[in-house]
Amino acid sequence: MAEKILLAITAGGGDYIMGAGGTIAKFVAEGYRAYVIQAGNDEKNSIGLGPAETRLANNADAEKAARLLGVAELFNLNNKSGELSQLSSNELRAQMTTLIRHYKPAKLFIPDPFIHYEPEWDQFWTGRAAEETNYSNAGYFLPELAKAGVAGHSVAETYYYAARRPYRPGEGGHGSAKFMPVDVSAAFERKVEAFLVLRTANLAYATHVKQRLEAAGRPSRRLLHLDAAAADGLARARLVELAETIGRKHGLRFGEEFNYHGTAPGEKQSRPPWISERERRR
Amino acid sequence: MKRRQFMHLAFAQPSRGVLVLAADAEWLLYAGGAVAGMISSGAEAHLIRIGNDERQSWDLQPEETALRNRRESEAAARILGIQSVVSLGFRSSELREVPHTTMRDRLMMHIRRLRPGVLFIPNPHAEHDRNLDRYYAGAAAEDAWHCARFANFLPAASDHGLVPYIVPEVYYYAPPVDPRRREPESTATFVPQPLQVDIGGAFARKLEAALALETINRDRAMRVKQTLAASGQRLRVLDSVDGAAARRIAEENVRGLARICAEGTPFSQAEEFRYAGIDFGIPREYR
Repeated sequence: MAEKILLAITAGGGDYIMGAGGTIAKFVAEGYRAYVIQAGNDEKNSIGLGPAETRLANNADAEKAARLLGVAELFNLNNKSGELSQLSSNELRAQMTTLIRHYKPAKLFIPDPFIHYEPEWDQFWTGRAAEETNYSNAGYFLPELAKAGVAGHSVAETYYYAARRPYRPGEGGHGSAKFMPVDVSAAFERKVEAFLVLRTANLAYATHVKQRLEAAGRPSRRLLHLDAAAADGLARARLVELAETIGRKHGLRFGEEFNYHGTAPGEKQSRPPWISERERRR
Repeated sequence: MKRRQFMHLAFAQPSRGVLVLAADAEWLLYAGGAVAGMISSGAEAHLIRIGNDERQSWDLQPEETALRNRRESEAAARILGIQSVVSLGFRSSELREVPHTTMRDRLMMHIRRLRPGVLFIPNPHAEHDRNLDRYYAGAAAEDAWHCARFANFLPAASDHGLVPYIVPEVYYYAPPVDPRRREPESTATFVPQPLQVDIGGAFARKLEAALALETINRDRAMRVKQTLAASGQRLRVLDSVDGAAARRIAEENVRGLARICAEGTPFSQAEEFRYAGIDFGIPREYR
């Protein structure tokens, strides 16, 4: 039986919390040791800070948020956010693969590269490379790692998450995949608590929402004075609406949902029919 | 540094302008009526041509094709009432070779320069469109819309007055071939919603603009003729593909598209979009 280790891959410091934070907190409560690989350095997402200050502020926020969620370690690959398309997909995949072999997770959470209408394309570039680790974790990839004693590692379960939206009806669960809702009602406050620590990013989001509402002639009274409390209130409302919208689909108060590939602990792994047929012939 | 610290205060207000980002000249088949309608209502519209349309002709060299299609696109834009056309000149059918950030940043500059109230972009999430230029251009355009709001993208441009800007309304356009194009996917907070726009009042102008794309229209007519011939069929109107025949096929195409998009609506002629407005990305209780 694999050790109870989970690894979440995320484009920015908050994306995995928004898409899968409740589920990760739930598994941590069940005894899983959680790790996070962050692909981008979050140098763009701020108001009034230059790239270096933005990066420092967001990374400090992300470390705190991960700790609150119960994550043992957040490893930042520090690639340039907003420019992940410039990075070779092979290179990003190799970075992730190396760390998967290091952490040896039983469960892997990755951004779903197939979802629609995610205007921040770093989600796509991260998800695409992360999905390919499914086969690059095998020993014949990166032989130099095997030579250095870092053997290949097969991940038993992969959870694809959509960072900022519910899945569309009928999406996911094709072939050997299962579409999996998770009741995160009990872990929801921990998810919110962790997310609210992302003060730099949340203030940027709140500023943009305020600007959009004012430009549309519909200012919100709750954003008139843009302080930490106002940004917190908006961030909470965003998480609540997402969790409730997903929950409503599955008869839950607060939900998260995943396209799930794999075999849960204790479950018998299904084999392709041609493998079983060969075994019978022997 | 001091200037950048206060950059958020310099958030630009939207104009009444419309900005169309287009992979190719055929954008007007899918969004030309809606754009013409907005222009009739007083909007000022601008067009950015990303690809150079150097492939879409019959029996012409790429250089001549690009030149003709550029002139005809500009003529079509004038008919629609579009005020300016910028041609970025990337090679059509090879947009996948253009770095995503290169294309995105060029588009971001124009978004900040023009500060449109409405943005039209190719839908990179539409399925079954075989023209992949629209996917790559749409991906860059959608990302440009998102990134233009952050001062840490193109900081040098910010220093020259091209300050961060959020386009309030975005229309994603695509050929109406995706069978799931009218499914909402989720609520307006999380996903741009399907929208059919009545183009009855602007249809004549759209048709006139489409007919101005003479090189593309002749190419389409020849392709139809060749496809029919490959399966032993013929259309009498295409026995001799002259200007009149090409226009007739083009007109049928424009009318047919408008009919398909109007199905299930009270309109007789329509265009279909995914629409992201004030609802998108803002929690319901704050709107």
